[in-house]
Amino acid sequence: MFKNMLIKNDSNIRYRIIIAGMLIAIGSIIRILLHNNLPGAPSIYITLNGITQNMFIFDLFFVVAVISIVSGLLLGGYFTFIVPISTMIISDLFIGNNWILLFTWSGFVMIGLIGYLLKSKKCVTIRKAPAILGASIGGVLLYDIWTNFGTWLGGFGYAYNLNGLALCYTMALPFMFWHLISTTIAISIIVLPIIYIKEHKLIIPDLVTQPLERKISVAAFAILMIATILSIIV
Amino acid sequence: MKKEVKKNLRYALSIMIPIFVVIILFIGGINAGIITFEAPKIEVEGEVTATITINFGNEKIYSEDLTMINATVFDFLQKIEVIGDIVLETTYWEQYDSYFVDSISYNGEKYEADSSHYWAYYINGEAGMVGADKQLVKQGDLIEWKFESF
Repeated sequence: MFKNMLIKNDSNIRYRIIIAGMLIAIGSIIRILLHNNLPGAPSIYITLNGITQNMFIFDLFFVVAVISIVSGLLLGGYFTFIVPISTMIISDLFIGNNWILLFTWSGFVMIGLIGYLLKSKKCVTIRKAPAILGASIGGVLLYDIWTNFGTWLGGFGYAYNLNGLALCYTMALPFMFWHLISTTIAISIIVLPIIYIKEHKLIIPDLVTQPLERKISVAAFAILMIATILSIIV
Repeated sequence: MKKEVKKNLRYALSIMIPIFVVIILFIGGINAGIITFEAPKIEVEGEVTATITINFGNEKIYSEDLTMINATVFDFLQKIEVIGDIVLETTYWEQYDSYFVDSISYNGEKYEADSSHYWAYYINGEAGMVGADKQLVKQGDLIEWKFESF
């Protein structure tokens, strides 16, 4: 019985590593190939807070967001942290990044943890599609609030007062609207079919995480958030 | 059976209602004039004289008063290159429909944007909120280009 448990555990980890590797590869390749090939903003403009700007500015946020959500939903545990961070590290080696990377990386881990939370609440079924979509949208909003807070805090020319903060978030709206719409569509056409396939055990097995993994993943995320804030203050 | 129908109805509504809300907000935004499909009109300023300074971050500051017609902050910077005082490298980002300054060379030294530095412009002491090629210059404006660190 013990030997069977070990074999089961071993194949469980193997499956998780394979799926994690595939997710990292797909995310990195798409990000590297497309980052310089994005179309111009569409001719839709929004006026808020006295500023008129494009309503949508395209970026590849949704790629890493979907990778993060899938890593949380399917893999859970350490991979919630490893997959988004690895995807960003590998692709940033080619694309480049700056000091805001700690905010963006921790933001994607946050989205992954939301996926992991859904997994732990046994929401990885098609019946729970509204909850998955709702939680993902919440994750996107949290990501944008967090990263733009970092932009304001890091001194990008915004005044260090409420007006400066409001201006920072107003200027970020084109990105936020695009993040919301692109991630919602991507989850609907990619993640929900994956969940359907998993639910019917067609290809993806049920991957189990150890209780300790959850604690370590959350602790690692908390340390990353603290390090991010400290990097600005210090 | 009735319970199953109620469950399915709740499921369908939980997906359809947010979609309807988003569509209604979008249409409402169009009706209220918040969302439009025409690019904002650029005001015509005519001939203006403004001061442009470039701060290279090591106490080297270049300053010049220029007069131009219907010009943007970016036009003023390009004018200095035409005068021959600087060499400019820029990239047009289609994603943002705007030009970004990659480097400015002055007195044999190149100040290049990288992972720890960037070029930013300020107009009358306030950071530019649109691309330099979108910011129209008014009479008496003070344009400052700064080589800043992250």
